[in-house]
Amino acid sequence: MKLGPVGDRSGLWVEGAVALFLVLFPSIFAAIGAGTDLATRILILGLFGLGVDLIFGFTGLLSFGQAAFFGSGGFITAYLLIHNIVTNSLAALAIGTIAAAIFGAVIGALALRQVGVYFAMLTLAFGQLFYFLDISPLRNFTGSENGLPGVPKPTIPLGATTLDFSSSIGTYVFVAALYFIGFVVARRIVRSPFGAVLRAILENPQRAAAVGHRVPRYKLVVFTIAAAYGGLAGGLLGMFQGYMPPEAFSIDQSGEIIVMTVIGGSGTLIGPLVGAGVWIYLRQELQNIDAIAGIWKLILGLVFILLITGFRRGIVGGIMALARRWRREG
Amino acid sequence: MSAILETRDLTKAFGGLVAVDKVSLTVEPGTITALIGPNGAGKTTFFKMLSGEIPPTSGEIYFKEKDITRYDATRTAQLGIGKSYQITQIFPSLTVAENVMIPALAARRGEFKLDIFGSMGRVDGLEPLVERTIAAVGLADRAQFRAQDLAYGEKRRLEIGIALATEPELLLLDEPAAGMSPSETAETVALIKELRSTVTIVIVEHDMDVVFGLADRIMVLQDGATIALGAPEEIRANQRVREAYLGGLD
Repeated sequence: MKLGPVGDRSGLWVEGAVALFLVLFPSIFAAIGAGTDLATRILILGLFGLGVDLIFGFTGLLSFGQAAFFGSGGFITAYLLIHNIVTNSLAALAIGTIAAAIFGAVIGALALRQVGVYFAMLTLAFGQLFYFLDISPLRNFTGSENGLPGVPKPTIPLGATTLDFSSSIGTYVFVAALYFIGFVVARRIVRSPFGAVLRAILENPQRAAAVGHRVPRYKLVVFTIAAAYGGLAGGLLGMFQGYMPPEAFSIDQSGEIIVMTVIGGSGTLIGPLVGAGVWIYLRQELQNIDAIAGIWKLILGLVFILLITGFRRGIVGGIMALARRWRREG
Repeated sequence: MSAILETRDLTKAFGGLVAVDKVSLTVEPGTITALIGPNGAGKTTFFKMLSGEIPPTSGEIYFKEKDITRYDATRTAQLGIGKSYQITQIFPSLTVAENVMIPALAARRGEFKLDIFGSMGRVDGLEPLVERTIAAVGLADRAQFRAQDLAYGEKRRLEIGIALATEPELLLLDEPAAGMSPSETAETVALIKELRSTVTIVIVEHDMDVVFGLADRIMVLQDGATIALGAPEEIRANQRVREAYLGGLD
């Protein structure tokens, strides 16, 4: 018997398909009249969502405080670049990501003492605490309600020359490359023995512990990894917008990333990207239709309810179930 | 030979209720010991203390002469105590092979390993352990089925398989034949008989045919206390046991 990864029997074609999609995405969006910047924003949230999917979709931990990491990684990266403390975009991103991971380890160590709804409430509280720190005590660093303007576009110094990603498509390429690395790493994690233990925790945490897995340590590590994804995505948001908004820390941001993950399909890794795509595209388009401009949020909410009731395992989960049925009958 | 498991005055009180009262038991390697007693006698509570799922109020537990009284369930599993549950505790949406792989990973990788870029193929001895376990519980032809799609009797065998894949030296079976048809029960008895050559077993069971068919020693609990401990024929002849428990069955 050949033992493969738990719960994922697809081959490396998935990575190939994601790479191909990333190459074609701007053209697809151009064809339907949406811009490259919208595609970049979707990738940033898709990257943020990879971490959310690792903890929620693969381990069963529902956190309402992920904005704490999106915001802190974002503001640290932005601050370093704006004040020329670090000039290399990748180095600034790396520092922001590591800082977010450290915050993740600390918050995780405290919040993971509880399970279920109590864990969710603790993460919510920590998320709000970070938002408050951003707005008030740390205002000299974060610009409070104004955020941090003037974040430089991504560049990578290469000896004599410098790779410049400041054009719209350049920023897309920079973000897409990091999304792809993030996707490959996340998929390696879920297919590893470590990932198999995460699946066991999702399915039956008591039994996972009773057969000899140190469940709290697995949870803490995956929570820390998810925080790192949030921090990296937050850093990219500031570079992409040229401005780091305080809303990155908001409870709306924490909620929205969960909604995107669930709409797209949790436990699939590409679900958050698909969910972000549908959500952001619809939001943009609905706001531009004069007749419904006032009630676009209501319509978006109805779409959300329809998608959740129609595809109980999200868009990607629904498509996968249809494909399985089709293969069995064909 | 020295005992593989020993409890000394093991006690668990929930508030004022003493569920297990100073129970002392010695289990020799390679034997099958059965715990019997009416409902509420404290059998499952006693088991949960052995496996580390609930901490004892007082008394001690020794596994291979090591004091494990304060060990939690993860540590007892790593040390070599496997347990299967009265209420099936499987990983429902994973396949049978994956269900067995989860405990096998714990046995082969230890309680924690940061192999986030590793693969199953690189975990030493994983495949033979999974194959051997699935074959032992008679589920080889079900390996790729989802656990939730199995028949009840198969789920119960998988339940034992999950415990076996932790590579235990001591196996705690909590009512392995619960809810089974007579033919399924017979299969389970045959399975446990095969296991006895490789692992020491302590079993809680209500079915007296199963108990007297398997056990080398029987401990009878009533209201948390031991009222008899000995070979099956001694237990059968014991007047107190007959009054308390077996009498109703004759």
